[in-house]
Amino acid sequence: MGGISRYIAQRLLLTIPMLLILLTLVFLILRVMPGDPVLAMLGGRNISPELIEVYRHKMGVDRPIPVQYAEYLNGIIHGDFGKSFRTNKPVVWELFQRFPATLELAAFGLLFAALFGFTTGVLAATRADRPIDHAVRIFHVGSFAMPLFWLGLMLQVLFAVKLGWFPVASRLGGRIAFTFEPITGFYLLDSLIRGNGEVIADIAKHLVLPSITLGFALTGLLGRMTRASMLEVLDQDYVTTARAKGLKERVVILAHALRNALIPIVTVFGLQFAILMGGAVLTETVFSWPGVASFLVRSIEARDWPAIQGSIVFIAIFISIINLIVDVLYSVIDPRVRY
Amino acid sequence: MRKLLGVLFVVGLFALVAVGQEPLIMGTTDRVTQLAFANSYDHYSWHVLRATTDALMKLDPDTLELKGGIAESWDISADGMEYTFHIRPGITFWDGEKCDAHAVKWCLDRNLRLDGPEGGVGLIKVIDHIVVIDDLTVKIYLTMPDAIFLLRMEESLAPALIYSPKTTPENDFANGVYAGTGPYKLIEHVPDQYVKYEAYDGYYGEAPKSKYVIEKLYSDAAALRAAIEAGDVDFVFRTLSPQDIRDLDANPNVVLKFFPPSPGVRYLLFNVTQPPVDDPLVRQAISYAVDRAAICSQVFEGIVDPIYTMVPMVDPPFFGAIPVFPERDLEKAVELLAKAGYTKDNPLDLNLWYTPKHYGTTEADVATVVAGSLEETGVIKITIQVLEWGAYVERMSSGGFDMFFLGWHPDYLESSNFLAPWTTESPEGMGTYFNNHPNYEAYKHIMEVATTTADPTKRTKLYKAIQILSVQDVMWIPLWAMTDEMVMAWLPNVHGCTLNITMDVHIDRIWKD
Repeated sequence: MGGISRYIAQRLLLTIPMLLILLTLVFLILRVMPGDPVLAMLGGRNISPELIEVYRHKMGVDRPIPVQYAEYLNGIIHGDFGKSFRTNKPVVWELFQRFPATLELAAFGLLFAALFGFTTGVLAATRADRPIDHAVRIFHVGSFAMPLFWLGLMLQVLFAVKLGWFPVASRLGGRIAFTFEPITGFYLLDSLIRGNGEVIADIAKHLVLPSITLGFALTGLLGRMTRASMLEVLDQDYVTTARAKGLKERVVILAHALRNALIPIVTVFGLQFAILMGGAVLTETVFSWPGVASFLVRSIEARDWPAIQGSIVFIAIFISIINLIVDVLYSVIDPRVRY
Repeated sequence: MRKLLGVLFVVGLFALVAVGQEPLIMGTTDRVTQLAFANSYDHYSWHVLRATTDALMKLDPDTLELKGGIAESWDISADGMEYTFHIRPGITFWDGEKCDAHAVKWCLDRNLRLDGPEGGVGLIKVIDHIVVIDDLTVKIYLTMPDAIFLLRMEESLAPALIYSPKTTPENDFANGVYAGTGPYKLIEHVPDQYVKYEAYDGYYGEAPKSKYVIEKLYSDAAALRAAIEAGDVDFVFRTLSPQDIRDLDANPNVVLKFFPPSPGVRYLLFNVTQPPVDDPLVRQAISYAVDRAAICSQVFEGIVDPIYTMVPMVDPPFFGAIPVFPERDLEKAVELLAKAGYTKDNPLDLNLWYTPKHYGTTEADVATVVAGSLEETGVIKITIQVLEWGAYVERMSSGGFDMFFLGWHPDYLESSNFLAPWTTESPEGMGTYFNNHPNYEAYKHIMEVATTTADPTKRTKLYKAIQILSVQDVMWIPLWAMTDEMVMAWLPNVHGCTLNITMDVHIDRIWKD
């Protein structure tokens, strides 16, 4: 087994105890939290206590907690996260229905954050302590200090309601929904495959405001890190050497300085994915985005235990995989790193 | 020139067709839970089912008169135990199957047999058995005379809806797997995104005004309001916040209209076994002290109406509504509290429980206003308590509240459904524990007589009697009618938006230019 394969195998093995701890914590927290899932679903209605008991039995929440836990773990080992109390469909099905929406949003949020973060970070570093640097730094601090839900609402009011440039919310327009047939669930990709210009434009327009909202917090963070990392790299001898060789400043910055400055940033980039998923909870809610995060929010409100457990584990696995990919990419960016 | 005119004509024709097929877009914050006739029980899921299939009976949306749906006529036996329905000939489901007496029997039997715990099949359980007389005649035998059985067979109740035996599996709830009679065919429901419909050409009734309809699902009131303001949707229904309603009302680009009265009731409840509200004098005092006008004006900006009866004042189809609860009278409240032994020196300490999100975003304000109005007596001291919905109903059902808020939307449009749940049907589930009250048996007897009495005049008297009694026993205090839900907003090019007491939007009657 090669170094990289062994490294990936080790990381995957380490993921197992992490997931087990997470599963156990989520399971226990839900049982300790006030609020009975059956009453959350049926309460406030004209229903007899006997029927509530029947349903409690059917949902398995009347069994001893250790039995519930054992059944739960057994189910997960077999890829069965149970059925959602709320929708009566397998949790895995619900998650896979929504996952493309979340991933698409996260990807474009990340793209926005990377574009603006790196650009503004490099701009600030190459003009350190000048007015533009101060302005960019204020922007960076402001961007990750800004509440996402507030930013989302403001973008909706300005760009959707007042200017009418973008739709307020959701993934696609009402008219397009009648003609568009998704293939993979990644709507933009699907629309490109279908090759219908009107559909592509509609889906792209729906992505703009949520992506900016989600990416905004990361923009500041990435920008600040890029600036700091660039400042450090710009002082290095090899950059001075590059300049002394007569290379153009653009080449010095992009080819020599930025590549090395990216190394610590990429490490953090992976970790930031967890923050991004946290932001997705708010962004998906504000923009009625039908993803995993908004499903989790609704499940928590309904005390839908299988759905909450499934969503959290799903998100944890997703973040672990992203982190693993980032770590592997590390060796691509920094040739000195060998696994 | 003739060729050019011909081309222009064809282009124009295509443009017209294109305009006619432009989907009508509704916005809502509601969600489908399950599209299962025997196992769903919420407003929006039932709305989708109703838009796509019919029941034996219908309510005329304009007059609210009960009329035939799938059944074109019916006979009732003299003892009120047998209902014979004559099915309208020529009805087909959208899967091509005939809608006849066999289909009616199959559907109702199936719903009764499956009887999902999340469903509302209990509302039609008065059915004993069903016999097919011939292809177009079905006879339903009841377990006891039921004065409101025709209402139970009306399309407002999902378990009464009829669907094709060919498409739906016999022994599974089969979420979303069905073929109805129309007016619309369900094309697709994508959870948390939208519900798509296409008009069913074979519908036996009046053809829908819009061929395609899509209902887009928004996450909250703010997004819904923004969607209609931005023109992303053609009309919105359920649920806008009071502030959004006011703002949209002032927006010249949006038409907003109220459709009172509302069947929704908000009220204060007491656990009649829980001290100190186990004392009827205390509960009566609170009924005099509570300030409905302050709730309506301060919290809802005047868009809801105060009520003094649990049964909405609507005619038809309700009867028996009587505004029995008293107007505010602080002196009387103080007098009653003194009789109960509470004075400024010996104040009455009470909890007021509310849940923060289940009834919208205004609930905390309502609790504050109600607490303030009770404390104006100078004798009552309120501790406001809050619990998230799951924990709220758990505590409520286990008898852990003294005074708390709930809301009610009727299962069917008859007075008993506004009186029985808290008194005789589910007093523990609804948190009143009225089954431990000395007058419980009396209420139970009156309700049993009322629901088996066919004569509306006699029934009215019995329902009124229960309400008059309730002013003394005060297990509930009706506060306001949910008029804020009886509102629709639409763009100026949209027509036919209207609501009635069923609170169901008839999408088949709405169109846009």
